[in-house]
Amino acid sequence: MKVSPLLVSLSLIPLILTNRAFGDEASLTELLNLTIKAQIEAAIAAVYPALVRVEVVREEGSGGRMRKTRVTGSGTIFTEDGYVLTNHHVAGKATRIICRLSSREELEAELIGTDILSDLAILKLDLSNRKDNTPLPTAKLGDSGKVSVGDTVLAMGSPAGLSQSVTLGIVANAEMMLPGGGAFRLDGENVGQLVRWIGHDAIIFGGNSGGPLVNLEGEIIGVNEVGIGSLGGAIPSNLAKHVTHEILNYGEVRRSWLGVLSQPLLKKMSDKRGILVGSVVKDSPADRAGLQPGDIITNFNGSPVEARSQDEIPPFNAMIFDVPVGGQVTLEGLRKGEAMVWKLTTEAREATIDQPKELKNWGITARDFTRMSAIENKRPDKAGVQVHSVLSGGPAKEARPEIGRGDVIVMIGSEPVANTAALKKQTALLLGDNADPQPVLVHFERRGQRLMTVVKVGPDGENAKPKQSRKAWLGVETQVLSPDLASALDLKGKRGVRITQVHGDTRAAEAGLQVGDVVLKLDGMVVNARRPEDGDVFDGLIRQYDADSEVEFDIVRNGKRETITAALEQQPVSTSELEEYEDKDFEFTVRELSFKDQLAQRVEKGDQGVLVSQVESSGWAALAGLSAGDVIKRIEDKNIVSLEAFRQAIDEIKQAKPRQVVLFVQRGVHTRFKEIEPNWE
Amino acid sequence: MRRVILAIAASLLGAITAHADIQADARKIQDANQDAVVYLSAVIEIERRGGTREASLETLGTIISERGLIVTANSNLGQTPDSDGNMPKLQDLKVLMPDGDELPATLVLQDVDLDLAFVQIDNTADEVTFKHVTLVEQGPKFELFDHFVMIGRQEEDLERLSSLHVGRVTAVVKRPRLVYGVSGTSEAPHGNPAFNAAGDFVGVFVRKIHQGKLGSLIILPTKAIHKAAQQIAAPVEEKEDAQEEADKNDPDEAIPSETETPEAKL
Repeated sequence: MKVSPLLVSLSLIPLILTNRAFGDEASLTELLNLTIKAQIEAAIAAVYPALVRVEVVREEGSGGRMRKTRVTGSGTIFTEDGYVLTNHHVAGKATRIICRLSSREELEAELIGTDILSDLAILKLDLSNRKDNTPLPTAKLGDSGKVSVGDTVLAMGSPAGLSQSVTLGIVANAEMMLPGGGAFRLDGENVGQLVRWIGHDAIIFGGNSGGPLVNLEGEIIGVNEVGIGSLGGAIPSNLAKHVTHEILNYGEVRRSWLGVLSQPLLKKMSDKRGILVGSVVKDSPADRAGLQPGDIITNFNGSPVEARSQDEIPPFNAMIFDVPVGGQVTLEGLRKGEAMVWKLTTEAREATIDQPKELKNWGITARDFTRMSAIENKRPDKAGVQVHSVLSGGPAKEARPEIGRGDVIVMIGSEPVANTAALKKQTALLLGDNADPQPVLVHFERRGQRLMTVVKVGPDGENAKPKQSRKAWLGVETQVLSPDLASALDLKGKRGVRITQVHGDTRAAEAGLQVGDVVLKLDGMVVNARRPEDGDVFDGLIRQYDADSEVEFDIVRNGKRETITAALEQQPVSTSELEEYEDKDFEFTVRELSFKDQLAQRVEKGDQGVLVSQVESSGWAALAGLSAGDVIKRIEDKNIVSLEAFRQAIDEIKQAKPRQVVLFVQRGVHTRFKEIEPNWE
Repeated sequence: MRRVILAIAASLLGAITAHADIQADARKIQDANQDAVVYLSAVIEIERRGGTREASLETLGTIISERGLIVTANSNLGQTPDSDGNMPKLQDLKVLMPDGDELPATLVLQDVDLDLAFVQIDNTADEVTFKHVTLVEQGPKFELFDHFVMIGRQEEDLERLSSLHVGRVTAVVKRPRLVYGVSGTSEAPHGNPAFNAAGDFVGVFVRKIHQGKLGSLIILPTKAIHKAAQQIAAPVEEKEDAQEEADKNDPDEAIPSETETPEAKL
């Protein structure tokens, strides 16, 4: 029979009292330790099974692209149907989420909703592929309002991506703020304007984010989010309860907005009480109600409010946020000593800034305007698309004048641009079936000026590389005859090259050139090579000839002078001239194998496949571990014998859109399998 | 003594007559071919450790086909690799036509070793044709100290007017390929054409690439240009009659095995 740790701990209490009566201090300490240990074990037993390690592929706008990174965090299952509580900064921008349960079961998860202002996010485990139907373990959210300094707490999660781990500490601060009212900015929001963290000294590390802070009753009292100095900071569970309720019921957290920026009273206002109005947003509820900077708010819907330090502002903000959107608010206060009453109707609070989106055909990431970002950018309304980052060499960057970060695209051709979704539609219409970039007249605004430019919008803004003239070639590799080498070979004072490799099936081989031959002259011209940087002198001389020329080589072989005549031939197709295929879904580029690949010993003569010439950093292929130089031999069960075969295989894959695509690649002498999981959306 | 004086007088007269002849010939050649010599304008992007830098440049080119294929000196388009082996990126290429039109163009073929580049005027309608020099595979050849006629263009401040220069071939280099050394044109732009006194297109002015670096100004004969142009998807049209004419003028295909210079001859 398994005994509950909680029962064990309760049964120990009388024993403690008994021991105290006998005055045996050593035994008392031992018993206290046993009690705490039992409580800890009970708390762990209550929450640990519900812990998940959250593995996320997320995208962030940078350099004109949405760049992917793989991060890990923590979370807790809080409903039997598989909802998981974690941080926004772990999973709020996820394009793919895998949750590893404490049972080591791995399940995909979907982002149900995210709230930047509280840094919380809710995921839903995909239970459709579970191997068994055992109920999911869950943990319970406790009351963070009861937390006191000194309480014993446990931090649980996956620090540094490890499997589920537990550390122990005490509550150091039940309402922790950043020093001086400092801000914790997250995707444009000041998390500190709402959250007062539970500070604790249970060790947490990167990867603990989203994991629970647990009391000895086995309840979640916080969600670990930050490290401040030596302390960890957890978002109180009462706030998490509100956020989960909102997201589960409405898909988002609904909050009211008044348009007033509040601050603590100034030191010279020591005779007053209330909260100081720092600024009022134009056309906001506060503006319409007549509030002005300098007013002091003393009551909120009849309840007195006061802030003498920044720590006291978040509760006031929370009062505003918690009013139902469109609800009535009565503020009482003072203006220059006179009593005032303001009646306001709240509006829905929008995000401070929109999150960037990628517009591949423009080579930019861009944001829509929110009400606040439009005001901050002195825009008359929310119309337009604001450039967030620009791809070097992309269409926007290549335009003259170029479009840069912060510019606002307001019109293309004669059509106004409302937002990024509209711009994507307009671009699709403009491009139609054209495979080539299309020029479009763009009106954009920069620091109050309205500029025009022409952007060649399209799938590929890169200039086509010019073809290189086919040149003469001798099928040998050489090394420079350095002065020291010349002396060692009894050729003191001579210049030239030493043949280090003769390629088979070439005219050089037919003519009898051999490894070790030292070439001093071509058609009587001295091969003027003696320093390491003269490595191209011999090849350069050869390239000056026509491909079908016959050349007389003055050589030294085994110490004897000889003359050998060899015909040149056309050089093998250079790597830069080979056709490439760039795949935007998998985010890598491949090309045919070249003669140079044989020279580099990447492949053997007769090998088949395509060579990965470029892997977009932070792309899907990069995430899967594919590297430039890898040779793709097979995709799923299709052997890749040419670039065309690769194209066909990829086209078939794109029709089927499987979750994972397996590539069989060769890297050096080893082969390996790589699994790419592209985002088909 | 009298004989000597007469001989000198005859010689001087001959020289003056010859000089007058080449002047007249050169003007005729200019009249016939000046519209085939155009300015190319390009913007290149150069990668530096601290970022990229743009530079604009102008050079001359020679139109060699009625469809607007132009040959020029590759080095003049900034298309030589830097010390790190990076080739500047050609951002914007335009042809400045004699009538003032600017036509977009594309670099279609490069031969870094021969300092050759081919530029195609973009999207020309079928009915549009360009005045061009007549390129034949086995073009005429120069002998040492022959006159050459070079057609160029003045710079923008002189309205890009057609310019004319007559010089002498100072070296005939035969290996590894036939090229001509020239005198009196070291400061001249290149990418423009050289003609013989008969008005035949003999080659273009480019720089000799020596051990990977830009060397002397030379005339690269039409054979090399023709051969390179054949690698472009739409090969340059060949005038059969011109080829036959050239063959008549140059029955001897053998290439001497030595380099001749005026100094050696003296």
